[in-house]
Amino acid sequence: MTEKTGRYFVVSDRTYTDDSGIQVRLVYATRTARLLFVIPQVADALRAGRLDVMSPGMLATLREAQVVVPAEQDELAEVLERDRSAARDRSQVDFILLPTSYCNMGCTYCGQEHVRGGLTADHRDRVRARVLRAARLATTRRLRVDWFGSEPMMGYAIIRDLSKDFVRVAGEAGVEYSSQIVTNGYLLNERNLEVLIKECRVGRFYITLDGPPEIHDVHRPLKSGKGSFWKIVRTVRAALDHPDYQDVVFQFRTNVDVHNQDGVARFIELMAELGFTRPNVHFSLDRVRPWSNDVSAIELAAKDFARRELDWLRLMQELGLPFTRLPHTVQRVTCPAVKAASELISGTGKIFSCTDHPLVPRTEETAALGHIGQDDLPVFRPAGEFDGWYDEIAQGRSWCRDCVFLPTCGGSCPKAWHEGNPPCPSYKHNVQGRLDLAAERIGLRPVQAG
Amino acid sequence: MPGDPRDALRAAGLDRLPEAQRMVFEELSPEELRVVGVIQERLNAAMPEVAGQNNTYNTIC
Repeated sequence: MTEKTGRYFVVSDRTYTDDSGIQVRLVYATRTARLLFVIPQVADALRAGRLDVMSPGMLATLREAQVVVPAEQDELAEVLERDRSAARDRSQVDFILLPTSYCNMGCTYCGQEHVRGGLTADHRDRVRARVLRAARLATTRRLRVDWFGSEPMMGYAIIRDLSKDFVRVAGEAGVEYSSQIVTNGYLLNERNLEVLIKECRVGRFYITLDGPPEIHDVHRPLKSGKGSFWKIVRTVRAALDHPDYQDVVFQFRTNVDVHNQDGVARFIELMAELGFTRPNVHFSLDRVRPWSNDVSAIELAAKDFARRELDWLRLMQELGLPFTRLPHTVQRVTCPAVKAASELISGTGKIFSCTDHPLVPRTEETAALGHIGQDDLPVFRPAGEFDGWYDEIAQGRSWCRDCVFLPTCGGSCPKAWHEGNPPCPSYKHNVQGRLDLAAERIGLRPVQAG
Repeated sequence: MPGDPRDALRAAGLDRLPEAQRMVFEELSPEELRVVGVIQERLNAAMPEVAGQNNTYNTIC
C-alpha cells in the first residue's frame, strides 16, 4: 500500500530535552487529537513528506494517529463525511432547555434580552412529553439534557420537576442519561447542588467567573447591584470537598475583554490559592465576542488575545490549575446547530437549532423552527440554517477547508461565519506555545538555539 | 555508554503491553525506543487530568 504524510498534523518548531539528554519534537495529530513525542529526525521527515527514513514501528504509530495515510485518500472528504455521519446520528438525542428567559445578572458585554417568566404549565408538559418521546424511541441509546439560559437556576423548580421524569424514563428505556448546566452560579447552594447532582443527574457545571472579586462583580453585576464572586466560589469550593461529587466536573469560564484582561493573572493566582487545583475542575479563557450585539469597543483582537492567553495558561500550569493545552477529543459535531437530533427549546416554547438564537430579539423573532405548542411537530426538529454546514465547508465558504485544525474545531461556530466574524479558536494562533506547555508539563525544556 | 533502551520501556511498564502493541515498540529504532521509555515514565508521573471538553455552546454566559 502506498502511503503519504497527511495534511492534518502540526510539528513543534522547537526541540525539547531533559537531563537524560533525549531530544524530542512534538507532533499534534488533529484527526485523532493525539500528541506524539518523536525524535527530531522523524519530525523533519514529516515536514519534508518523507516516509522512507522512518522505522516500521514509528510508521505504525503515525498510521494509527492518521498522520500517515493511504496515498489516494482525500482527507478533507474523510473528515467531513465523519462529521456529517455524526451530525446525522440519532442514537444520541440532545435537548437544550431554557426553563426561563430571565437572568439575575446584567453582564456588561451581554447581548441577551431578559424577560421575566418561565415555561407555562402547558408548555412545560409539552416539553416533558417531547423529551420523553425521544427517550423512548427504539433508536435512542443516550439522552442528554442541558440546562441553559439566560440563567437556568431562575427556573430551578422546572429543572427539578422535568428531570425527575427524564431520569426515570431513561432508566426504564435503558437509555444512558446525562445532563449539564450552564449557570452564573449565584443561585447554587449546598442543598440545590445535591438535588441537581443526585436527583437531576447533572454531571458538569459551566460557571463563569470573569476575574478576582473586584473585577468579576463589576463585569458581571447582579441586577440587584450586589456582588456574586464570593458566594459562587465558596459554594463550589465546598462542593469540591464532598466525597460524592468527585466525578462531577466544575468548569470555570472567563470571558475576557479590554476591561478585565489585566485582572486575569490575579484571578488565576487567587483560584490556585483557594484550592481549585482539583482534577474535577477545569478552567478556560474565552474572548468576548459579539452575540448579535456590538462589542467592537471592548473586544480583543484574536491574535492579541492568543498572545496574552499563553502567559495566563503558563501561569495556570505553574500553579497547577487544570486546563486544556490542546483538544484531546476530535470535534465530530461542531455544535448543536448542525446536529439533527439536537434542539433547543426556549423559555417561550420556541424551538431553535442554534443556542445563540433564542435570547437575541431579532433572531428570537425570525429563527425559530417551530413551537412546542404545535400539534404537528416532527419527532426531530425541522432543518435549520446550519444543517448544511459541512457542505459549506466543502464548498470553501469559510477558510476551514484548508485549515489543519478542522478535525478538532469543526469550524467552531457556523453562525459567526454567516455573520462574517470568523470564530477561530485561540489555539490556531498560539499552537506552538501550547506545544511548549505540553512538553514542559512533563519536565521537558526547549533546546537552546545555537 | 547508554544502557539497553528496553530498560526504559520496562521502567515505564510498557513491557506488559499486549503483543500487537509490543511489536510496534520492537520495530522502533533504538533511539526512538529510548525516547518512548523516558516520555512514558514522565507521563506516568504527571498528574492525571480531567478529560475536559470545551463548552460547545457559543455562549458568553
